[in-house]
Amino acid sequence: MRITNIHSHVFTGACAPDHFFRMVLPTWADRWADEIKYFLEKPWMRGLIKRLAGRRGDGLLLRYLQFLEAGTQNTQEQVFGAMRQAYSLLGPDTRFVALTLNMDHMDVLPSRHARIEDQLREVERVRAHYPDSFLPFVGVDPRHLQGEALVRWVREKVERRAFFGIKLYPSLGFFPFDPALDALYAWAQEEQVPIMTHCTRYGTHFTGGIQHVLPHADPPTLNPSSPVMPAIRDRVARYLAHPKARADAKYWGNALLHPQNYEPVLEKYPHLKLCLAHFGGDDQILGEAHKVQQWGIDPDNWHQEVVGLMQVWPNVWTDISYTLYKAEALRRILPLLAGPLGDRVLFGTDYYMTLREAPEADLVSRCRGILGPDLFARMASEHTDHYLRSRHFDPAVRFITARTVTPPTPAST
Amino acid sequence: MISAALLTPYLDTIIALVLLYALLSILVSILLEAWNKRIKLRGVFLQKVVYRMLDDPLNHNYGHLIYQHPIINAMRRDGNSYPHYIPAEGFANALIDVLAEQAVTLRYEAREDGTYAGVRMGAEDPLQVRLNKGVDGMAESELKQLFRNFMDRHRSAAGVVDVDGLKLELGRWFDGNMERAGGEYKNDQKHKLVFLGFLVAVGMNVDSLHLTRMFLLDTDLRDRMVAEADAVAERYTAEREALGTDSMATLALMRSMGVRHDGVVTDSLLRIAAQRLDTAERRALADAEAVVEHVRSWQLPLGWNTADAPLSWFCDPRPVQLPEGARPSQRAVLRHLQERNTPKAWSILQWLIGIFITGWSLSQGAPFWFEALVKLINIRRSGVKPQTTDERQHR
Ligand SMILES: [Zn+2]
Repeated sequence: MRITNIHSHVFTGACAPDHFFRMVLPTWADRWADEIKYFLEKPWMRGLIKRLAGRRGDGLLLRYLQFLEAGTQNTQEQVFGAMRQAYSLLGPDTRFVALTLNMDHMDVLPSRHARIEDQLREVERVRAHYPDSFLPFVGVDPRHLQGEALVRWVREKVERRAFFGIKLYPSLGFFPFDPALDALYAWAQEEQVPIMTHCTRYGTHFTGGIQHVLPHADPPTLNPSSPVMPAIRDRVARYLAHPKARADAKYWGNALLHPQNYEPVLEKYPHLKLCLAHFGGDDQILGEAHKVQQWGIDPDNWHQEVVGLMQVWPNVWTDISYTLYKAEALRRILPLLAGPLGDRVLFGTDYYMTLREAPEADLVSRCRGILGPDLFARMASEHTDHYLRSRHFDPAVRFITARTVTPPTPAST
Repeated sequence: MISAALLTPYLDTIIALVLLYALLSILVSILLEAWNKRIKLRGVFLQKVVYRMLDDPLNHNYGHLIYQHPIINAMRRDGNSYPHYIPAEGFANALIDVLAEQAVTLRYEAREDGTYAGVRMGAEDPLQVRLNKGVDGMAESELKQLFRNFMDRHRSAAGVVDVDGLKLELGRWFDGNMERAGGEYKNDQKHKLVFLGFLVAVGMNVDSLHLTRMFLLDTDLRDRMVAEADAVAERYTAEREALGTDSMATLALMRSMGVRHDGVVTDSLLRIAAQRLDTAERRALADAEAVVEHVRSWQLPLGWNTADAPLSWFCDPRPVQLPEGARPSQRAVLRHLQERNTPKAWSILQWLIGIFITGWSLSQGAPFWFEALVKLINIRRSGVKPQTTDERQHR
């Protein structure tokens, strides 16, 4: 049995825009950024802030601290190496799906970071070194490329098996039903290329003002006749009307992340292989109310929303990444995992985002303890293999390294 | 010469203060260097400059890509530091590799034995060819044009690029950029100098107003300081050419002041702290201690002491007895001290102002104060005849 961790990250702080760190600082602290970074690199300092900020604190600050957990100036290969190390006892031939993230459009300010093309180039080097265990997904954003151009860009990567799926992160500033993604969905459904999307109320988000992303309550959509569009528009209008919610993307970002936003897409592409990561989030599983739920803007329980989508659409998946750190949440969903929907729940950890909760090896063995070896094995290998299988990739086939192969040159004759 | 003679005590007081500022500014510079080393600022700064040099929004951030290159990556100490220094040759090699690598695509083909095998398409070409293809394949941009020009200058009649010549040229380009960036690096430090200036002012309780008063009142102290200043200015003038404006020159300046140190920390508390530091920081600590020791040897009215403001405001200041035949100046000193040691709004304000003046002055940097010292000593030598204590007593 070969384990696959379906949800991990290796991107580094260098891939985030310059102002990402600035965002978490008051302006006076701007000139002391290097000093503050130095102190934040200290584990004791991070522990202190985590305690003060709490788990539900400022999303950007916590996300920044996560970058620090992975090493501020490490390369992606080094981040990957550290993760791999954690599995040396659990399963030395474990495969990792590394989800890249396009952070180039998370603000409107200029920045000199490693953009998506640089991030992917670096990832390809890692992949060349670990062809059989490192399976990256390509981070997609409708503001980067649109329509057929986007399809060409992704297809080229998937066809030469450099990348194995598509990653979306809507709270960076777009709706999943953005018309620019229409052609990509059509292609992905046709080729059964898996799509992974972030779907919890927390996480990284757009760092600019709401006016750049939600100028009005009528976002363009690839499925204007969808019966759920009115409900989505009403929700957006509620966010726009609420002064506190519209002031901070950690609130209004929820408008972009809501599970219902995938319904217009699924109505058009019912066989799209779509994984709504994190099973709605541990907070929703445990019934904790988010601020926007308390305010009545968005009262839905996202865990139940995800379950509802899985019941309706046969190719909607979810994973237990990040959520698994909370044993209680994991126990709460055990009956679901054992039921018929459980066939579409995947094992993943969300490394290195989880490092601030527990070391990777602890997290995995604890999860295995709660799920039991059989269920764990099914989720981490059968389900993941099923999910990863596309027209371009068969998870049963092994990769061998590039070095052992001579290129097919007709010139030798 | 009457007016000049009247001015002398004021000029000498200024000289004494400037000498103190010059020495303490060195302390500030040492602290700044050590601190920047600690937060690995040079590495971060270098990375910013390289990213800026090679960022091409239409293609890649080549700065990021060369930092992943084994040549550069191997120069880092750990996951939280960038290399502090990149040799021009390493830069040129990494950049050429990164540009050439653009011509290579990796694809994994299904084979009959049931495996996927990686094939590096285009990797079989020699470096010059890959480099040409890699740059040609870039989207049109300023940086592409720049690279193409570099390559064209080293292209033979047959169109082949001389990689060694190109390397040298890229190295020169890198060095030029680094040189310019050096000045920027210094400008970037102003706010830290202010912070450290105030840190030293408060840490050593250097109250400029109090010192001014004491220099004016205590002629012995003033004369000692002026004699020292004279010697320092002379040595500084002699060594100025060699010092330049490099921040490392502050250490050389110390030598010109006769500050000796053997790199051994003597204070036991500091020694414990030093055990946790690396060699460079330990040296900085020893340097700093040498400066403090030197200031202490002047026996100036500064430092934290229960008999001095501001601590005296909270402790009972012991009444000071004057010797039998006390001179008027000694009485004036006593009066000043008594006034300063009473916690009144006025004395508190004076102390704050005094500290503020020191902090601001120390942030001006050592070179500024040494230049000022030389000018002041020159004025004193040319305009004012030095007065000896004898002459003063004759009046
Ligand atoms: Zn994730």
